[in-house]
Amino acid sequence: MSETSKALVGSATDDERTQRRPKKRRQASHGPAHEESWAPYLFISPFFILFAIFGVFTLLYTFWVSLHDWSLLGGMNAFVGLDNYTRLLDDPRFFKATVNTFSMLLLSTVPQMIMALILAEILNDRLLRGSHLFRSGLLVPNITSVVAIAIVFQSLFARQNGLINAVIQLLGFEPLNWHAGRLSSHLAIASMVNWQFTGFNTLIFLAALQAIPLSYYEAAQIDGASRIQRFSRISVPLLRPAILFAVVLSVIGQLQLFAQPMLFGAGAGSTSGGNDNQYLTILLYLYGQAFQQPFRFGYSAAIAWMLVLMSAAAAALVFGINALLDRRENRAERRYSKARARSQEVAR
Amino acid sequence: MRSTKITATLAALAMVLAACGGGSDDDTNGEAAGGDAAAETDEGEASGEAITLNLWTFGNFGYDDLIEEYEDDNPNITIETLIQEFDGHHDGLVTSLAAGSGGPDIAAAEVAFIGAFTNEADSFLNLLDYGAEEVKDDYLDWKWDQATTLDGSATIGLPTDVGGMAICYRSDLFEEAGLPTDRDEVSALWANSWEDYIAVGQQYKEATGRAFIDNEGLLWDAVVNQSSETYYDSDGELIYADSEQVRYAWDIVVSALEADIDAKTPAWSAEWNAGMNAGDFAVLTCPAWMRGYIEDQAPDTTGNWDVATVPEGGGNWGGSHLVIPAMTEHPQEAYDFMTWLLAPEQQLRVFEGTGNFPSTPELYDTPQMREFSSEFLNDAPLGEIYSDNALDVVAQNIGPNYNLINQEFGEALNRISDGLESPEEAWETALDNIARELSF
Repeated sequence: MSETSKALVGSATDDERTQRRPKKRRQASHGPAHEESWAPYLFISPFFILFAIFGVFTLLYTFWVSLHDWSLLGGMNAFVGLDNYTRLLDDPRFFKATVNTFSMLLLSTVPQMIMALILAEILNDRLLRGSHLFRSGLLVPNITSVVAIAIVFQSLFARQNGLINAVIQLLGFEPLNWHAGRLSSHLAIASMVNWQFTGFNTLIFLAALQAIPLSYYEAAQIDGASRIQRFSRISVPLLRPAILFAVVLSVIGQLQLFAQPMLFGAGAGSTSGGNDNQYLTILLYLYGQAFQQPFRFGYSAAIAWMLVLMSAAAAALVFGINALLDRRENRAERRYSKARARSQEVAR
Repeated sequence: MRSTKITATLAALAMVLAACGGGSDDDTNGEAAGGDAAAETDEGEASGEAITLNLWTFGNFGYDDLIEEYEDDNPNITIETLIQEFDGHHDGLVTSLAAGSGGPDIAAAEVAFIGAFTNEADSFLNLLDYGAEEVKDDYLDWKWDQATTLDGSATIGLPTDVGGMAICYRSDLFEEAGLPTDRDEVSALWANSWEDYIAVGQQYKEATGRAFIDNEGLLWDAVVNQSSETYYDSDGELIYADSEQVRYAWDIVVSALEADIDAKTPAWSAEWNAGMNAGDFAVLTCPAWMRGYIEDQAPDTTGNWDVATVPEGGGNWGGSHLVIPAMTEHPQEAYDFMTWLLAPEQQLRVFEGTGNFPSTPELYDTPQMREFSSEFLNDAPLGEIYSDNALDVVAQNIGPNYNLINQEFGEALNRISDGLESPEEAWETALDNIARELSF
């Protein structure tokens, strides 16, 4: 950061001395009187120090590891440059894991957001009785342990004695081997995620909904807007920042999907994500490569870095879509205000 | 005014830094798991030299009473134990080995890991340097060899228990199907070959309409582990692709799948546990330690289970070693404690407490073991069955990537079971996958 911006930040927080700013600026370049300008940095430094140790350092160290042929048991063997990365691009299992991860991401994030929006709109209704009960109920899945959820869902989706297969049979269809099919296993795992996180997102949306002035809805109602129109034309557009937040959070979380697929495949070889890697995720593959035979620490570090890049790309994509929507909205607004100005002129 | 502000700021920073510093100090202590660090400080105090040894195990090794006794006899030694479940224990052990610090002084290593550990013998104490040669004859040869490098220059672990191999069967269900129920007659049904075992399965299925075996994976483990060579030969060369015995095990399991006698309940799943109770399958591959598992999962089936011998003789599944990571600061003390803990007399006491089957053959003739039976398993002479079986086992070089290869074959067979691939396709895919995984 430059000297001027430092001084700006320093003095901006120090309102007591705002008037003396010019004088202070002069002092800053010589003499001991410029201490206050770094004081704010001191106060925010704990976060950055911790972030440097546990964030930046580990990231860079992981990158260093990824450049080596490094066995977790045997230790570092040789510097191999980007070999681990070129190998990764050729690795059919990594490709499969990536496709699986994104497939489960879509299958969980999309329905989750839609359901959460609808639930939030319903719960926002002032006429709804017992809304507090429902609101706290929404958080119950979220505070349940992932392991407990996964074990319950594992038996729900069990092939022989599973509840879901029992219902399918009752309806006269053949029971499904949920673990064997790629899509079926993704649906099963996505359903765990949806069950756990829909409530959390609903609460985010509900909080944002309550910040929308009632007058908008009343005005729309007077103009004859239906309930659905009020939802799609007022709630959803005004919730966009909250939706953006929830989607980014969900995308980053889903790229690191681990416990659900691991426990879904509980039994022998749970890190393989199914007998044909049907539900192998990137993180599951990373874990299996490093902590189980063949204990490839360097390779697994390369997977970790690919995951970092993918997370960044996915987040950028979401923000990009948001920016596009923003621009479209601005254009619409300009058109609207121009039209209004014109009509006012005409009226006058 | 200004100076107090600066002081306050500095003080705040100092506190933050102190907190960070303190935190990391704590971490290093924590990593040493209380033991090494504590021992280090204790070392300063002269007389007797108080020493703490960390012992990491998983599941139920049944060492509590023995540890107390050892501590009473050796007042300067304190044993700290950390008992976890299987995966957590081995993950933690591997991680501490990789870090080169913070590990235990003595750790259990299950047979699935001992091959990989022996391949990295430098990470462990070579027990031969401490005179382990003297106790070699106490243990089963094949079990001893599992923790010894191929050139015989290093032995990294002493054997704890062995799994052995037998077949547990539901005599009540056998009776329903019109099959013999007496354990000798049942053993005779399939003593000669696995084909006979599958034939009995078909007979059972025809009579009852229910599955005979639980899943193909346990059958694979039973058959493939009977060979003297599985995935590596005795020189450490990879032979999984051409090994006749691997192919034999494959063909047996494929014919069981084609006979459609399996319940398709994956091992260790909730379905599997439920199936034990409900009688979804009539037989189980049954190492000595499996009795405890069945008893836990299906307590209502007491007396319905019985034990027969496994087709085609010996076999082993499971069992562990104790190893001493090279990072230990008290190698001699750890070695002394370990040799005492795993001596035949102590193994007998563990056996009486937990049923973990000893790896010391001299016990197999003792009356305590000969007469050992379990009410849950219909008073079958377990001691006799498992000790005869353990003596039949042939030494097998496990190899560094046994687990990886075994898992690929297991998944390939599971793909056949799920109808995803034909047996030939599955075999080819398995070989391709293994080759790719090992090609680093």
